[in-house]
Amino acid sequence: MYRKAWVCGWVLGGGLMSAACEDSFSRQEVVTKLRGIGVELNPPVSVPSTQDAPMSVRASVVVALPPGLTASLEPYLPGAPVYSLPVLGRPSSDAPVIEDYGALRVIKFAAEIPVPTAESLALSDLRPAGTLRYGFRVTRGDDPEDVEKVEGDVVVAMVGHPSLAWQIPQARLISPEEGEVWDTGSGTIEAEVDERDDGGSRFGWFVDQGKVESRRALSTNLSSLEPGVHTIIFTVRGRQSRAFSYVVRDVVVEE
Amino acid sequence: MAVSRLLLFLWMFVSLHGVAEEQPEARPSPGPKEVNVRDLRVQLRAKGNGRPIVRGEIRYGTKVVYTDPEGVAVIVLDGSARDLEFARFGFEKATITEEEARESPEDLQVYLYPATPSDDEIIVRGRRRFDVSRKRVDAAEARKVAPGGDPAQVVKLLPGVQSELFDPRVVIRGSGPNDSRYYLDNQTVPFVYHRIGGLSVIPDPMLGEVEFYPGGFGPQYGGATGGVVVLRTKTEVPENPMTELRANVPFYSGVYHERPLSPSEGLYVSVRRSYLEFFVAMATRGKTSLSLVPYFGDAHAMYVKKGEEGGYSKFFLIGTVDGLKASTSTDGPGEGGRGTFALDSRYAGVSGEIARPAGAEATVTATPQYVVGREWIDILDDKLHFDTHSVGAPVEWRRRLGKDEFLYLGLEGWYRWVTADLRVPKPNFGDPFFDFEDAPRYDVQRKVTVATAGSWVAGDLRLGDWVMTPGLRASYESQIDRTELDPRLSARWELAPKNLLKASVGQYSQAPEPVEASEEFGNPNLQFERSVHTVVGWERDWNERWTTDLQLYTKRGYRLVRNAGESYLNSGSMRSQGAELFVRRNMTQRLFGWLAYSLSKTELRDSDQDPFRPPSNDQTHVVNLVGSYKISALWEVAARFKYHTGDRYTPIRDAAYNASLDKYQARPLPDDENAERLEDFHEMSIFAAKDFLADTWKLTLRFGIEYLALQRQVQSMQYSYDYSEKEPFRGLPPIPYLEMRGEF
Repeated sequence: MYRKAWVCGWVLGGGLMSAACEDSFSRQEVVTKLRGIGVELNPPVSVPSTQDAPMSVRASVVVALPPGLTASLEPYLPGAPVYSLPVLGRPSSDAPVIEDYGALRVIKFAAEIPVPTAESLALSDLRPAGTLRYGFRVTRGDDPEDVEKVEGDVVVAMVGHPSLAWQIPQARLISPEEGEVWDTGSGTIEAEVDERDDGGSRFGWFVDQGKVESRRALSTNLSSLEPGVHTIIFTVRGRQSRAFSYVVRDVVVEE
Repeated sequence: MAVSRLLLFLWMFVSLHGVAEEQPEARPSPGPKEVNVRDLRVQLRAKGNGRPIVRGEIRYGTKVVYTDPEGVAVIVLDGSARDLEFARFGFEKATITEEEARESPEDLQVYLYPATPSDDEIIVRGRRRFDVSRKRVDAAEARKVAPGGDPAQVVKLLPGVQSELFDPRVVIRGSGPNDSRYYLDNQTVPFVYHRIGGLSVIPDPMLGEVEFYPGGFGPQYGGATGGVVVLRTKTEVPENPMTELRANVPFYSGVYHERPLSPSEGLYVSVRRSYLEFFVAMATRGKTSLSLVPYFGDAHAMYVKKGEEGGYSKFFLIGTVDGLKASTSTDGPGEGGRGTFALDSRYAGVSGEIARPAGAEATVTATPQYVVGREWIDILDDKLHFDTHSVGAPVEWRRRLGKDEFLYLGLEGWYRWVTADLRVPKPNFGDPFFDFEDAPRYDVQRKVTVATAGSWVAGDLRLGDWVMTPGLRASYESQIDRTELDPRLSARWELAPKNLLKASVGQYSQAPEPVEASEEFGNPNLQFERSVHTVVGWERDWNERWTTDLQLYTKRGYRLVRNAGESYLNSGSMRSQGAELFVRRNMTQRLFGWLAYSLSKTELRDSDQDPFRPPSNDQTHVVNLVGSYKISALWEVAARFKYHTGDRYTPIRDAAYNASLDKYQARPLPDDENAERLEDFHEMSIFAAKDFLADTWKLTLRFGIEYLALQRQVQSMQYSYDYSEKEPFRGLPPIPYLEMRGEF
């Protein structure tokens, strides 16, 4: 059969090919256009709604893009994922929060993700937790062709489930330090994370330029930076809770 | 009167006497010079290997002598001629003067160069058991045109075959690589091409011929719904010892040796090892974060003994290894951000092939064999390790009933055990906390045993101008506890000598793979996969030099095993049809080649509710044009041209950023599966070979260029990290190579 051999070949081939490519074609960490970087969820794990107490999760859809650009958000119902209930989010009427950094702009769009009842999610004593799948479409203001579709999961658990105690992981950048200046175009980037759930965390680095040696590593090397101001974003998300947070810092590379 | 007559007589007498007496005394005429007659023992040998030339002709004036089986003849030098000429068909004449001969030592060694090849003599190929679709290529022919001079790879140049640049496996008339069976003689092996490098697992000096069945094969072959590839090793006893050292830059080196042990026994041994990993390391060092270590190697030993009453015995040992280790930056779970991948694929086998007369006009051939194999795949922290042992013994009895009429009876039994050591994510998509990268793992070791048995009967029966070959194969597999009967029928009609129509229809069954039918991971209620092949064809020898073979085929596959979520089902089906043309210029000493054209269409579906869709390797047109020309006794040139319709791929028109996973996920549309095609593929390879001959050894330099094309050919389509852009992934640029072969 094709299956086993081809899957392994694809894994090897795809992994090797993408790793071998050194330009922006496959460097996910470099932000040169509108990019989703995560969705903050509060609470990270919700209880289901009841007739008397409808529940929702406050979400912040976080995107990064080059400075000076704008974007807008609209929800959509994602395709039916396996074992996950698609829901339509509700964007907030509040204006998005814009954070400007040296080489990147971060925009946070507030929204609500309504949580259905336990019956809708088919929760029970045997299956005390389930997931919702949300989808948001973010469009760049000056280029309607530049669209980022952001999807993700929200965990819903019955009252008393231990996952309800999970917190949003917090990250802190150790390197570069605040105000640090690099005299070459490369240096170590390092973060530390206070993990707040039991499932471990997934890390991710984003930069405006250069090459991150290991995008998923807590400590790695950033290189190929040209002189000037550069922005580094470190993200952390719970593997099981899907909770998300991020930190941003600028670094200056001397001429 | 009488007195006067007397006086006249006296006068004449005196006069004559006086004349006689008056002649000056004649000097004696100069006789022949005094010559030292000597015997000269001459041995004629072939330049390049030093082998004695039997029935060589030595001409000395009007005298001609012939050399004996040792290449020796004695000629008497008596000064009656000026030159000695040495000649033998197939060799250049040589001449020396008598003087030079006299100055030579008592035993004169004369080495003759090979003659300029002639296009007049056709190399005759014997005919064997008839099969409608079969193509047979001698190793000597294949060596001239096959990629890298590797005869076993000639299969990739035949009609009905699709192959890829980086993939040594082949697709045969729409059937996947794992649907076909591969044999070394009668020994079943997991593969015949190295995964790394694509070289065959048999060194070419050991190979006798390559048999290829794209379909419609007889009942002696089972367990395949695609095709059959058979690499046949030599059964002759070598006449003389020969050693070959080979260095192929940048791929591998090897040593090969054959020698007669007695007039009826021969030994062949070989070892090869790659050094590709060093070149790859040099090429990638400092340029990428990718560390790649590919390697391959093999070793062989073969003993052949000819029987006194006909028949032969062959004992064969083989060991092969292929591996690839890679380390690269990944988005995997490791905090170091690097992942390692490893592939290790190897097997070793021992077999005996014993063919003996078994009564009047009958022979029996038995091939007891044992093969142990390993297929280990390590991906990050997960592993799929399979170790396989199989032991079996096919036996076939064959009896000649009359001209072109034979009866075949065969039996085979196999016992196979597979040990699986797996560490894989335990899928549980219903668990809201499930994360594929960090999921709990199945850590499991299991052993699966499978017994299979097969029997067959077939007969070649002549009915006037027709020869019919009905056949029936029965197969049993213990894991699914099922038996399958496969009837097959082929026929040929001789319109005229060397002009025949042929046809075949048959059913072919293949058991599911052990993992698919296992209780723990698969479905033990699976059935045999089934395929029905239909072939009609016309084969004609136009003259001694040209042969054509035109075939039309259909193939229908049923009960194909498909992954249906959490288990496997026999829900898939396929259909394939096509036409193939093979025009062959038979080999002479000078010229050889062929044109192979295939036109085909293949479609698959996972269940009866799904529409038929083309697979990714649906190459509508495939053309292979190959040729080899011997310019002189020492120079040879060859070329290959390949064209095929571009492979299909599934375009990604939609993708989303999954914020929970920090990954972009493609969203292919159902109707887009394999909906687009890559650019059509074409490439050319050319090479030349020159022999440098010393008296008793030969150096062959083969140099060429692979992958010649107007631009680098597209192998696949690759997407950017967010699937917003795509660009073709192009294969290798033209690569020159040099191979040095020393033959002693």
